[in-house]
Amino acid sequence: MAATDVFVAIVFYLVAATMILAGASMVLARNMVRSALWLVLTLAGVAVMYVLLSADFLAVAQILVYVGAIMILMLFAIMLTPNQVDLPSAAPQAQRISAALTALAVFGISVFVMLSHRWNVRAVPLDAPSSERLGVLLMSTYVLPFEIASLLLTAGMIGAIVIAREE
Amino acid sequence: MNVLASIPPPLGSVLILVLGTLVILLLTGRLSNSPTILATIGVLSLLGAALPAMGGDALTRVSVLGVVAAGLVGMLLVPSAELHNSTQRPEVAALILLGSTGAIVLATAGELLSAALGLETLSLSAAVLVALGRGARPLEAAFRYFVLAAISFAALVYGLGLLLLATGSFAWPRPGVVDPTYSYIWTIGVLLIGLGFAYKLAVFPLLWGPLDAYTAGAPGLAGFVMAASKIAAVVALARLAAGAAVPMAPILIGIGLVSIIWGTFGALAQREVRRMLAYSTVANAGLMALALGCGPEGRAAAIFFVVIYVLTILLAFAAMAGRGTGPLPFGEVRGEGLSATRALGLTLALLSLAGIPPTPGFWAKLAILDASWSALGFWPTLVAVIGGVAGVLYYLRPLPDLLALTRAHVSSAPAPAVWFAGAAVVVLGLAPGFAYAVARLAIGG
Amino acid sequence: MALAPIGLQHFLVLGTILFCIGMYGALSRSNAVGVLLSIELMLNAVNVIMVAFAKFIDTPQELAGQVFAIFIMTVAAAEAAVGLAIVISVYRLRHSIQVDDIDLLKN
Repeated sequence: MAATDVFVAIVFYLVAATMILAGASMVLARNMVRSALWLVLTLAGVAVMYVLLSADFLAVAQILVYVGAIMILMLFAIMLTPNQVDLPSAAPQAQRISAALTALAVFGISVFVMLSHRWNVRAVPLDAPSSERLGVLLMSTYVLPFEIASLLLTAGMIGAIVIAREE
Repeated sequence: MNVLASIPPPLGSVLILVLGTLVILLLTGRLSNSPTILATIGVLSLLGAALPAMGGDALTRVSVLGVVAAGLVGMLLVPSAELHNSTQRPEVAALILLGSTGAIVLATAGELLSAALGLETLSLSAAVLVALGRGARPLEAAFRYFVLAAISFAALVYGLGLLLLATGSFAWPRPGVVDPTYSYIWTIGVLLIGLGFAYKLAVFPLLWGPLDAYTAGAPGLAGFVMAASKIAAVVALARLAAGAAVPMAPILIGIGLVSIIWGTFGALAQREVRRMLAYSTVANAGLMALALGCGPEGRAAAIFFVVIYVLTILLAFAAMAGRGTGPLPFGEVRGEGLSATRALGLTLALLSLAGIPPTPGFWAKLAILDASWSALGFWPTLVAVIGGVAGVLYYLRPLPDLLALTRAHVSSAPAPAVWFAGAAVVVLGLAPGFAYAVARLAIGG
Repeated sequence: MALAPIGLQHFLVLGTILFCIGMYGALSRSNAVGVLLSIELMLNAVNVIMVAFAKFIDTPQELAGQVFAIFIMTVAAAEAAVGLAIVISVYRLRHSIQVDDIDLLKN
């Protein structure tokens, strides 16, 4: 194994373990503020994974959009609902058990499919920074979805403003 | 000139709708005090959006015209919509235009990534439109609608990912292009995408959110949400089923039968017009899903049915608009003081929904039963027939009170939306063959 | 396993674990914001899987997985904004955002 492979492996396992622990703490935490902060940690881990996957643009966007914007929005929402922060935040036990069973079933099936399938793997994994090609693709092949996404954001923005505005 | 000619027809419609949205958003401050001008701008941009679609193929024409009709009724009802905050009418109009855009994109998009984004635009606009109704019930209905929409969209996204993996592109599924080793991944992907589309149709497992939204939203806005979603969902599901009949058709038939039974029993148990209409929509969605699983003939019948159903339901909601977001119990219909026009409109809509012969609803049900008979044989068709006949039992319950109201002399405020939707239903009742021919052309059969 | 270089399967398993954690949260949380947080985690897990595909799998359209991830991110942002606005308005009316309490349509 080359030195970079060892380095990548160390980073991957450290970050992946952190993400899984933080994700589990996120769904189990009683306090909503803590829950949101655990999710911030998980989403930052996703950004590191993007770096390992040579998706440089996505890594930066992940930090800006998720960690910087969406999570701030979530924290605002939690702060604006003051007496709801620290309630027993899980559903009754029967619902929790059925949720856990569903999640385990999905996990089992997906992992089985993913590990047993013979993927059509590339000879050389994508390696160079991909931002430039991504930008060209968004402005050529994917220009229509790109424009429709702008309509989606407009609808979301108008909607959020009109619903949350107090008279 | 050349540039204009080279824009594909659905895109032309989308551009005009976006232009209308921009005009309304830029003039929000002025328009919030003049609802008539606001509705005029909205109506003009919707009519304008119908024009480029005329140059397109039959599928484009059907989807754009259906969505435009839904948008027109919604827009005509904006000045009288029961909003929590009545200064927000311009935003409501803008969201109707954006929602129509999303529905058109979902129905006519050339690849699935755009279709998914169109669906989400429609979902978000719909949730917000429901939420803006007066009182606490619309808001809570919108919340449930939104959460289910988010979850089913996550399923759609997952399915789209699997499809990307199996075929390497976002194209609509086509038979015979998938590598055999990827075929089960492709199948699961197609089914998950179908699930995401089916949420907009409100069939059996995915109905709690839509049910609440149709029951509790402001009538005009709920009618728009329902109509636009159903047209787009049926066209999108028809395209999906055309390309991937193998996993889709049996599932659609099964879901359709369960929905017919569930929706019929649900509607029979109701004591209130709006909730009865909401439950019965599940039974009707079941009929459409059943037809979508019956080959090209069935898909044409489903498109024919959805066009007629949507116009009828728009008429019903337009007739109930302006009376608030609360329930309308069967016993209190007479005391409601609906004007003669509205009572007549609601009567016509209920007769057509029940499938009484000269009304268009009769022809629509007949087309579906015919397709189901030739594709599936006796038993499934029997379930559909019983579901259709049971409609008479629940749809016609408020009818005596409504007929009494048409003779009462309540001063009649102008109700353009009722006139528009009523005229459309009457025309379809007179010339069902024309609509059916267009639906068949749209399917390419 | 520990000595194999990090490849496609590692990212797939990680993404699946995160997706299922998020799914458990979305189904078991009773706080509405908690549900929205869990849905965000699910969408991110799908993104990790998609970007891993873009790196390792041979597809006709290069980088389609990354493009897909960008669009999911866009949708997630719009969804979060609208969802939280609805949650805050519900709170103003009912002083509760417990999912079980948001159920007055039943009567």
